[in-house]
Amino acid sequence: MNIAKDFVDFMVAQGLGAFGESIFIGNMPASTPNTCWSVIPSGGRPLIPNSTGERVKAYTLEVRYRSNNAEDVYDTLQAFEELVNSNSCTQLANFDTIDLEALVFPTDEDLDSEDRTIGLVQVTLTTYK
Amino acid sequence: MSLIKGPFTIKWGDNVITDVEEVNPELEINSDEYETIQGNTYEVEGAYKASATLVLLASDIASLAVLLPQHFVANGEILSTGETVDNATGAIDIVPGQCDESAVYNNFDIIACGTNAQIARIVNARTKVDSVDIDGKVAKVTIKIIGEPAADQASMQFFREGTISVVS
Repeated sequence: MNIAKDFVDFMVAQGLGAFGESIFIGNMPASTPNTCWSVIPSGGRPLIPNSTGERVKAYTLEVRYRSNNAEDVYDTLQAFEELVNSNSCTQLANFDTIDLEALVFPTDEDLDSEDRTIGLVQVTLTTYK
Repeated sequence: MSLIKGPFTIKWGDNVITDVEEVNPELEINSDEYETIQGNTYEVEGAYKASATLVLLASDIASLAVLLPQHFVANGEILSTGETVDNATGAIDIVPGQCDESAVYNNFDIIACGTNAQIARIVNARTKVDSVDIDGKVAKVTIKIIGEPAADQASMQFFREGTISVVS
C-alpha cells in the first residue's frame, strides 16, 4: 500500500497514461519518453489526531508533466488541475480519501532537454486512517 | 504522579467506540450559597451530574447503531414514517421515545493507553444525539452521554484497569 501507487492508479483510470510507460513514480527517465508524468510523494502530516488515535492526514504529491509541445503542457496541466479540483467523490483504492486539491505552478524549460517544457502540479491529499 | 495519556479507548458497556474526534467529559455539582447575618458565606452542594459529549468522525449507520440502540431499525423493520428498511446495515430513525420505552444504560469508560491504564467512568449512562454537523467535507455526529446512577451511587469514578472487583 503506497499513496503514490494509488494515485498513479487513479491517473491510469483517468486515461492519462500507463504506469511504467508514460507515468513514473519518482524521477522521470532523462531521455525518453518525451511526453510523460512523474509522481513524487511526501507527507503524512497529521491534521486532526482523534481522541481514539485515528488521524486525518495530509499527503503532498508533486506531479510533473513534460512534453516537446509547450502548449500541450499548458493544456494538459490545466485539464489535470480541473480533474483533481472537481466536485467528484474521488476515492483512492487503499486510503479513505477526504479531499483532493491541486495547485499548478508555472511551466519551465526542461533542464534535461532544452526543447522540452516541464510543468508541476502540487496535489494535496487529505486522508483518514 | 503520572500523566494520563491517550489515545484513549472509549467503551459504552462492552461496545468499543472508535473514530472519536473529541471526547469532552463534564462533571457538574450544583451548589447554593447562603449568607449569614454575621457576614459569612456558606456554599452547600446539591446534586451531581456527570456527562460527556463525543464527536464521532465516523457517523455511518453501523457506528451510530452501537451508540443509539433506541433509534436503530434493523433490516426488515419499519421506520416511523412507514417505510420498510431493505438493507443489512439497517437504519437510524431519530424519533422521540414513547412513554413505555426504557432507555439503555451502560457504564461509559474512557480508558487511557498503557498497561493497567486509568479509567474515568461515568456510571450508568444513557445516550442521545446532541447535534449533527457538516465540517467541510466530513459529516460529524455529536452524541451526549448522560450519567444517571442510582441514588446511592457515584456519578463519576476514577480507577486503574483490573484493580476493582466485579460486582457479584
